[in-house]
Amino acid sequence: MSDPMHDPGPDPELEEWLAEAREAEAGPQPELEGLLESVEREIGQAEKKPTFWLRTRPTWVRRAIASGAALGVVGLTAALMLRADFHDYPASYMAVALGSLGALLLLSVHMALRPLHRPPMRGAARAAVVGLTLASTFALALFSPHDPGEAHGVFDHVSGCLFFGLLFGVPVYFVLRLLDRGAQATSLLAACAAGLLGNLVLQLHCPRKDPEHLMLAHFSVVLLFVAGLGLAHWLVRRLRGQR
Amino acid sequence: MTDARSDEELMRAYVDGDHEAFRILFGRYAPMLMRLTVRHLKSEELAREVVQQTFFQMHAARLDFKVDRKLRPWVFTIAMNLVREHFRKKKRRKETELEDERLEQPASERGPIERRQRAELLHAAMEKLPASQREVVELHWFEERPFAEVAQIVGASEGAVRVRAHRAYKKLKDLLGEELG
Repeated sequence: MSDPMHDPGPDPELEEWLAEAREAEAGPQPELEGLLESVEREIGQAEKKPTFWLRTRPTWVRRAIASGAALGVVGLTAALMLRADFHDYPASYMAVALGSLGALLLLSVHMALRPLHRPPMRGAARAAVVGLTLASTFALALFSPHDPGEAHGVFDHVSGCLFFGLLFGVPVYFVLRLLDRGAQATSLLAACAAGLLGNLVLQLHCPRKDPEHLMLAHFSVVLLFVAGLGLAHWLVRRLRGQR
Repeated sequence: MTDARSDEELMRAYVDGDHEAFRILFGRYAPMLMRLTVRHLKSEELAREVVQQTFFQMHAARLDFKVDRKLRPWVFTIAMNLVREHFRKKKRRKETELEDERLEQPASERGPIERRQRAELLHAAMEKLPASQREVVELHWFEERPFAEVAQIVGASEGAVRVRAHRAYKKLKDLLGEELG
């Protein structure tokens, strides 16, 4: 049995087939006339758009812009809209929440802006980021350090927090799509980043700690971004497929 | 008059603003990219679109090109990613049912087969390979790229690429079993 590491080539009979196929391709070359002009025309048209300049920045610059925009929103929230109970809130839980959400946000941004000259990301890696995004925001809501005796209306302020979280998540989604050069799955990863940013802002701003509110109003932000955008893309693909 | 500069020198010149360098690179790479993409997409029209997009992305990503790296795997990776993206959007792996029919020739159709028909049978068999194996065969055999470069393009280790090649050739032999005897 041949050794795949040292001798991964075809056996002589298959090699003959492969050689014939390679020879068959060595015939007349496909027509290239006009292709260079098409490329230059497309480049010329693209360069008239201000967004194209952003997309042509080096990848590390694009990632820095997106990460900076997201962290800027977090910083503004901390500076101007900090939760009233911040100083009484368990510091360790706040650190875990901000650390996990922040790390996943930066990872989502990093993966969303993966350049096209890098080999494709494995599906398992993308699935892991989506899974961790959903799991972390769910866990943070479920295990929130709350006082069981404290009474709250379950639906109080749900719409307000939901709106707030979606509003603050949307800009990072659009910044990522603006900087994207067309890599695979940018839309899904951008949705994760938007949901994570929304939760970060809510974690810093909303004084509620009861799990019911956090599930309905904070975790739902991630769910709406990821599932909502996923559904929207699926519908668009179906409609295009039906034309 | 041919330009004696290497591909990497031309790319550096292009990044510095030399548009003629881009045209020379186009002349060098467009034919091989067309060959590669036509083989995958089975359509010259689609291949032209992908090759056009490849050069467009080369321009868009030129500031990402590292001067100490080789240009060929960089360009091939962009082209292969665009081909994969095309299939992902079209949600198809195999071209038509006709290729499957060709593969399942009844035993009674034995005898001498034209070279072109054998090539078509081989390509139909290659369509049956997993994408990861087919890419390796196409880059290593048809594009005559060394395993180290193939590994760079597909994003795997050289060892993994060699194993994929070995498995691909074995599977091709199984699929073409009757014809190979």
